[in-house]
Amino acid sequence: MATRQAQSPETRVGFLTIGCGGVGLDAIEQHQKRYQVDQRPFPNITMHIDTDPQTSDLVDEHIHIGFKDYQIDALQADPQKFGRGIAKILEHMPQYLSHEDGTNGSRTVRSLTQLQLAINEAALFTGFRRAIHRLVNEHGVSCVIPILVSSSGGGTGSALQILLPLKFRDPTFQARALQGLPSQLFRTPITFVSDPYALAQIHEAPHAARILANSFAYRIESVALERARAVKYVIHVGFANNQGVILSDKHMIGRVLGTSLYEWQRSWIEIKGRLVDTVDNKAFSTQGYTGRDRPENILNATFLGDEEPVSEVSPVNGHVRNGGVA
Amino acid sequence: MVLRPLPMLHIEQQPAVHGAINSSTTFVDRGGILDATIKLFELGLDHLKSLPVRDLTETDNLAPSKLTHQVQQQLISHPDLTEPDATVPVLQAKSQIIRELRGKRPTKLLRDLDAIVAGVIDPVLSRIRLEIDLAIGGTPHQGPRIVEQVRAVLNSLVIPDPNSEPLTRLGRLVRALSELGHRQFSLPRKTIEFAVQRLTERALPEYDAAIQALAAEWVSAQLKLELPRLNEYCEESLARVALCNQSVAKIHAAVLKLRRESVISGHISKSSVVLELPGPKENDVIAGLRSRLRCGDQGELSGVLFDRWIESLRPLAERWVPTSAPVGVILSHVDPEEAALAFVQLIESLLGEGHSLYEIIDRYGGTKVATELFNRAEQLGSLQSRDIEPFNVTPLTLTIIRLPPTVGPRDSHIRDQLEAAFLKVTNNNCLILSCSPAERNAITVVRSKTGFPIGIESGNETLLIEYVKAAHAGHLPHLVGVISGTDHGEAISNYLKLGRRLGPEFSEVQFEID
Repeated sequence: MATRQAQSPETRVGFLTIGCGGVGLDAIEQHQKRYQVDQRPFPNITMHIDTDPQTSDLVDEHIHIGFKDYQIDALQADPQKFGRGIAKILEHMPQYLSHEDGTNGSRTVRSLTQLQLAINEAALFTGFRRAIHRLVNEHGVSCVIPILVSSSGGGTGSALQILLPLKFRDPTFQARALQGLPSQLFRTPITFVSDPYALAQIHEAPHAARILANSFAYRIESVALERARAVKYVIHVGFANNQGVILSDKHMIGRVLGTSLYEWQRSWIEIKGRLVDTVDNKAFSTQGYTGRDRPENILNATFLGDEEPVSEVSPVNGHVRNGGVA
Repeated sequence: MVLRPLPMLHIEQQPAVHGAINSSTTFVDRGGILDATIKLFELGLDHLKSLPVRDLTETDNLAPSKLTHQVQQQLISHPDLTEPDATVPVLQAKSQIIRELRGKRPTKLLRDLDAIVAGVIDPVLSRIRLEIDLAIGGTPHQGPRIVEQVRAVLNSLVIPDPNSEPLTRLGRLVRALSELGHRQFSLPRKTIEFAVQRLTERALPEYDAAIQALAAEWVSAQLKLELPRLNEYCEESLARVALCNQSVAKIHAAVLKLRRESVISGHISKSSVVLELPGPKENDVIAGLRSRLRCGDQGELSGVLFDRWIESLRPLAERWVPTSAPVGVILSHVDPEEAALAFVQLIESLLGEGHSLYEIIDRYGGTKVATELFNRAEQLGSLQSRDIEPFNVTPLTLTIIRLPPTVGPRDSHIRDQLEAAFLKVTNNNCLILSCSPAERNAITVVRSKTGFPIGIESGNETLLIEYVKAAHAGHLPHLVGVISGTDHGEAISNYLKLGRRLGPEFSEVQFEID
């Protein structure tokens, strides 16, 4: 039967909804408005992580990871102490790390978020520990599903969408954020990302290109994350659909992202019940896409140094430009 | 942990765990309702200003003569101060008691006297304070006038100075009687008797006068203490009036803000995820309310609505003030935005038949609403028809529909029709849920498609072109040390190669290729 009343919430599953960056904040504000109007129908704590200190009253836990006084100097004092890649970033990003400009957030450079997260790791652990304790204490949950929400093109959200799932698998994180709680409590994260076309369009060409490039970099990295089973699902809010809808308003992106996420969580029991038999099962399968139009089939020429196009087929997904399949 | 990225898109190696989601919602143009709300709210404020000011009759009871009389009555009923009999020792003792009281010698009687005076004056002062509160609370805009009126009464009070004459005279008479007692054998008996009788007759009224003077002295002293406090209370009351006026101004601003927000919300692209439905016009709203509440004109209507609104605010202010508090106090103790929303909700709750969301949907067409919302909620992005079984991509599609609760008599019927329309448009593949009662004004449709590899999404091509462009401009899009193939965040060379095949403008650009 397709029609039913809102089901009673499953009390054992709790969500840790983490808005990353500006779009993430817009989304969780929208999410929280609905959540509160509905009288908090499922266990949920919202968290906002950003390099920008601004946040919202609707957020339960705010973690500001932006550079503070002298943190850049501290990083430079011994980069190796802060993790892999930090020394490389410091070496290649001096122009972003002056005392005057260093505290201006990530400025569409994802690796700057990586630096800021590295030096503010303690705040991250504390914030997560507090949020998880609240979920366990106040809601009695036995498992916490982290849900990351952001744009895939910004400097902060897009980076955190990759860095946080990796952090969750890190034994140090598990030891410090889950102190005393079983590691099974914290489940594989689900990520919600909005594709950044609308955000790119409000900027001049070079900046727009950087935003969209970040989004592509995010896609490459997210596939690597999926293959390592560090994320469960990656849910996109795109730009346009076949019915003529264009999501061109920044405010509307947050609204759609937050509303969709909220309804997804609200109906989690129903949705999960159907995902386990379909998508989850499929994820265990070794056989993936079977179309023969994969890019590798048509791009050998490129790798062989042939500059001439080999066909009228799109090299990205191999689709024939006139609509057929190669 | 360093992740190994796919050297190219390699769709067949990508896990099918991506999903696309979108949501659409209705938006009822509430401009007409909010315009009517603003008009009626402003008329309601006029109604508040037109309320008559309460009389402050209690201030008359502050007259010192009245209070003295009441204190005197209680003093003469006190066992130690009752009217003495005509014997000289008793008169002497009573006179001594009064003298000691005036000298403020600490005794139980002095404490009793203080209590008697407080028992007379304090209730009067409390009633005056209450009257000020009620008068100002009921008609806050008249606050300064009311305070002025109270102060005029206070300034007109003449507080008498202490009068020791009656007690002095009583003392003289008592001493004379005492002298006669000592000399009763030096004068004829008849003369002594006559003198004692006449002196005693004069002493008793003097005792009464002394008690009255004592009462007056105590009342004066207490009033001198209390009147400045009452003046301070008037000052505080004026501050409360200012607070109330500020609160009213904030509520007014919040009502106007709701209208502005409505205008902003109304500026929505027609091809967006929001389906705009026409709401009622301002004149229709006011005419409907007048008819429903049987009011002759808008002034009367605004008065009725204002009173109902205040009643609806009482529970909101309950945490701070009693629910019976006057209107000004209630208005000072509610959140302006909550109060503004309560006024709008009051108007909406009284709109009656034909104005509920379901009625509006019915006029627009239930099937049309279901179809448009469903279409607008189609997931954003294109999989270019590769999400089919022959390619081993079979995503799970879900549609969640949230319907608001029914309020009007026809709503249930319209809702049934709407549900049927949704079931039809989704081929019975949807989940229909009920919104909470607080969410009365919107239908939300969420559609998702989960379980495809990102490599089949059509946006990859565009994004890759921009990836190449940004790399050419020196942008470092990747994280460092997270995936192999990028040393310090630079674009991955194989993807740059791929990008060069897409954009002819890049053919001349040389990238460093591993």
